Amino acid sequence: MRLLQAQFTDFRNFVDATVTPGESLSALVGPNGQGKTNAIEAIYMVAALRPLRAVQRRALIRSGCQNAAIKAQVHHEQTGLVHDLEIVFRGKTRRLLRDAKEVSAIDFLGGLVAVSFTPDDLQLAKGSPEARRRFLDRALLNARPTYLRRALRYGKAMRDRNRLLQQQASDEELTAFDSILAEEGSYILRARGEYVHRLAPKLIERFQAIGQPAPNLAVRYASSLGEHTVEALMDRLTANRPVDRRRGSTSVGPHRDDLVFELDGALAKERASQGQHRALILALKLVELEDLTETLQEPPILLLDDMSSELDAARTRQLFHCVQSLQGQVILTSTHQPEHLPTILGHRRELVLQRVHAGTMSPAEQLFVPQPLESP
Amino acid sequence: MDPLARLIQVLGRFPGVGEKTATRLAFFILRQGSEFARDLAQAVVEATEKVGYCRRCQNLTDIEVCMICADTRRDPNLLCVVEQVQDLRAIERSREYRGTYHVLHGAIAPLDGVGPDDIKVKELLARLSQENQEVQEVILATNPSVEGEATALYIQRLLSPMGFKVSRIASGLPMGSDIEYVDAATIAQALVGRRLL
Repeated sequence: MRLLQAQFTDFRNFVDATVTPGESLSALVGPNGQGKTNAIEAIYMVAALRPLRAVQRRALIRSGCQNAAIKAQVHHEQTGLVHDLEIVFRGKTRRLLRDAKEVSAIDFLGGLVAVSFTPDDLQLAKGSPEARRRFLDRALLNARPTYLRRALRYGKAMRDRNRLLQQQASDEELTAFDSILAEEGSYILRARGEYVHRLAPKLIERFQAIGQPAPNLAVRYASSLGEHTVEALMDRLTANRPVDRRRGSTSVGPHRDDLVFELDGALAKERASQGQHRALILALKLVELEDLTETLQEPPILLLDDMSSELDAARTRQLFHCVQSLQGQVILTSTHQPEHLPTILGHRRELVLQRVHAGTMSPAEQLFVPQPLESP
Repeated sequence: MDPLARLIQVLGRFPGVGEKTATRLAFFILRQGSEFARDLAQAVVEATEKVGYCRRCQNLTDIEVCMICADTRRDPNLLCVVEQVQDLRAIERSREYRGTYHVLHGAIAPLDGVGPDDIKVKELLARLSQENQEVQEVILATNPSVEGEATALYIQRLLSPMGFKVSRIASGLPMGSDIEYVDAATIAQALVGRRLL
């Protein structure tokens, strides 16, 4: 999958800017506060239909404007086709167009598949379970388009159920919504469980390779349910109903689960050092990328926001080495001077460069790397 | 208030009609002249005054028992439960269904404050509890949305103990379509609902 071009109109601080990334590595460079992250976010939105950071939709539109638009031209290697993807924001509403035809979110997603890696991700192993559930959900949404519909239905049915609990509605009414929660929830549980099961051995291997010396890593999907069947979830929802009625919310289901990392038998979020956290997250992102490449049978686009400020030189090179072995396209932001980038990244092919300054984007320039650099 | 502005405001209350369309409609009405306006006004008043619920199936009708319920050629063993009159009409267009109907006029939607008592579930139960009724199978043809699904499940749990055969309308690929162009969610649903040949 290749992003050929992305154009932002009145999005965040851009009036009208175009990113034309290269085949492999592209860098958006400039001082802080110029719009580099906004550009990454715009591309990410086409892939995930949600911003990188939680924000009101209105805030995506440049202040003083009615509309904002993000257009992306994407080449799919599998089919050889180029698709035009467009998101138009107007107030709180959003329209999605695929090849100039309005489509639903489910049909829009998959047009561009991207994995993002931002400084916020470094909090993943430490922060709230919600962030880790979101990681799983985003990974699954890329891999299976129906996951979104299931997750949306689950969310809707749960909000309905919580309202019924608060209203002390009849058991018959609650049972009807419990059945839907059990059906959709079981699908989510199974999808997440399978994903973690598939990912774990690869993640452990990757983590050991990065860490040196690395403690023993264990990864598991920590579920409030032993079994992930519809019946098991239904039984628990029924059993927990009296408690749920008192609390006015649903106490069991995939929305309560967590992805747990353990180092030498202790919880990583309590035990791990700063360096171990970084190694873990780096390994996790790399494995996500590899797995997605396998599922899609072509590499997704990797969006890196300001990573070299967060990872040390050796890890940055490891990251790029892996990315290059996948032959994927990478778009990154950096505050470094452009001439230093090839050395920092250990990059041996040409680099496409665009400078970001106060919401404007300079035309793409090729930065050739004169001689082969030492391999990492 | 300016009569034209008032007309535009009233027309703007229609679902899916914004100020622009309301203005266009208002000017259209004015251009047509007073006879058209009187016709329109009378049609609106007459419809609202005369149309009510069918005593049996809750379909909209201007007579006590609607045409479908009154039709003796209909199969009294089959009863199809739908959310809206529009759904009944859609099923009628297929000309494949010869049973009777029950219109709920909504679905259970807790977030919108709609409970079972706000839709015609009581009427359905009352109708099915009558001694001389002949229904054998109840087909739940509510929408495949969360609310429609929950409404179907709710009704199913009430009817099964009463000894009725309860079925749910299938969902999957639209007829005459290419699988190629069907959205991913529908294809997934069609695969789940596949049947042995």
